[in-house]
Amino acid sequence: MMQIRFSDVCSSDKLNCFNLDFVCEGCTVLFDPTEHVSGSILETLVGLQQPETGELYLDGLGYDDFFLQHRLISTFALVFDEGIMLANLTLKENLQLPWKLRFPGEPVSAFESELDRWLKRLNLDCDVSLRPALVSPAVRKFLGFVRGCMLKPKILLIDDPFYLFNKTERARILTFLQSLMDEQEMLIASADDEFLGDISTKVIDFSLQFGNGKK
Amino acid sequence: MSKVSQRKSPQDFLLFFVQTVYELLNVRGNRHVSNVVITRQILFTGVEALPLIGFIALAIGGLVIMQGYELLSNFGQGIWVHIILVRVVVIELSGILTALVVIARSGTAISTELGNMVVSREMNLLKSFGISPLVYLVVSRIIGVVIAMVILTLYFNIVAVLGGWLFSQFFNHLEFRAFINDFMSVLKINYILMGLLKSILFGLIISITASYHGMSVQRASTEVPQRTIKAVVSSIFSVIIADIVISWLFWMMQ
Repeated sequence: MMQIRFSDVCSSDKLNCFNLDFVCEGCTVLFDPTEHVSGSILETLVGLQQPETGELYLDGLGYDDFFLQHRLISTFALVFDEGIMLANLTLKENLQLPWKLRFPGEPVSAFESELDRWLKRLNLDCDVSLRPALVSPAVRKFLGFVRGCMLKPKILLIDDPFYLFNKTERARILTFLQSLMDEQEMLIASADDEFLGDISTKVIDFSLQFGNGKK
Repeated sequence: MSKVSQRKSPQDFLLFFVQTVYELLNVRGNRHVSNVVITRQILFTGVEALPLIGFIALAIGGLVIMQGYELLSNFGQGIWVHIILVRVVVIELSGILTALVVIARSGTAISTELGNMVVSREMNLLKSFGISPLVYLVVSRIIGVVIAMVILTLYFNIVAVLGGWLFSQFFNHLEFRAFINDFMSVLKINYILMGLLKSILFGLIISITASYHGMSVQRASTEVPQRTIKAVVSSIFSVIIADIVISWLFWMMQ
């Protein structure tokens, strides 16, 4: 559980200015039909974007102060919408790179058994010795979920979970996320209303907040 | 890397340079420096370039001996051709020619790869793990390129000397041991130090310039070749200027 507060925050283009204060617990869904603000919120949380004005508070502490006491990699793990992987590493190396940072003293065998467990759980049968360019974007996206889950972050951030997936794969990831709800806190940014039903413990509806694109 | 990518003025390059050198100096305490990236860079820049460098060195060594022997034999001084070999190849050509090959192969590769990584948001991926792209990608590559440059320059010198001896057989049969003895008698420790200094500095210049231009790509893939061209041009200019400055300083000290 974490309290997240955006205070008088404006994006760099000043199109979106807002105040947002919520407690992230269970599976919180940022429902955003424009897909613009919710994605930016996730990127701001992992430090990829910095608001032009305003402050971001995590559990009552300023963002920088919070990360003086906590590690980014054990607090948030972002599952990117496009299933981004480093092209010059194999899939396995891609998964291992952040895992070694998250669990520095752990042996490689622990990584491999953990990887095996998550691949089975997602029914994913792929050769992880391949380079990312040699597998489909959907497989890369599934592996993005595996990478995020393996890091066991305090909150798993998921940007547009259905992007790149066909109908069958959407159903598969929805079932997976439902099974994950009891063990992992999640913050999901999505424009799909499938996440408004069974899967969410809390919904923040941006279509009400940004009716005209600006509060 | 949005902040880095917007920098394009000389001051921004200077800032990038200072940040990079700072991270290089703190390399021991930095966990984000990747041995995998360093090793792959040495393999690509160093090992894979050996055949090309070997061919150029052999040809240059031979040509210098051929031209030098013809020139000096007009004055009856053909046996002093080793001086030309040391002065021209070891001091000047080995560093600059190796640098040009490294610019053509690795400078372009580094700039293109980093530019594509910006476009495909791989930099953002690293940042989301709390990994500094500057350390993981740039500093690791710089270390790899500098090590490879030193090895390649040394290799160039050895092959050029061997090439020189091989070509000298056409004009004047000389025992290999006698050739090497003559060569070593005119080779001074200062020349070796200057060659080493040049190769380290050229490696730094090439890798930092290529990395800066690669990281300067903002969003579009069309920027990648434009930035790569700038990286090549800037690297050639910088390497030649550095070569002149170092040679002049050593000449002044003598």
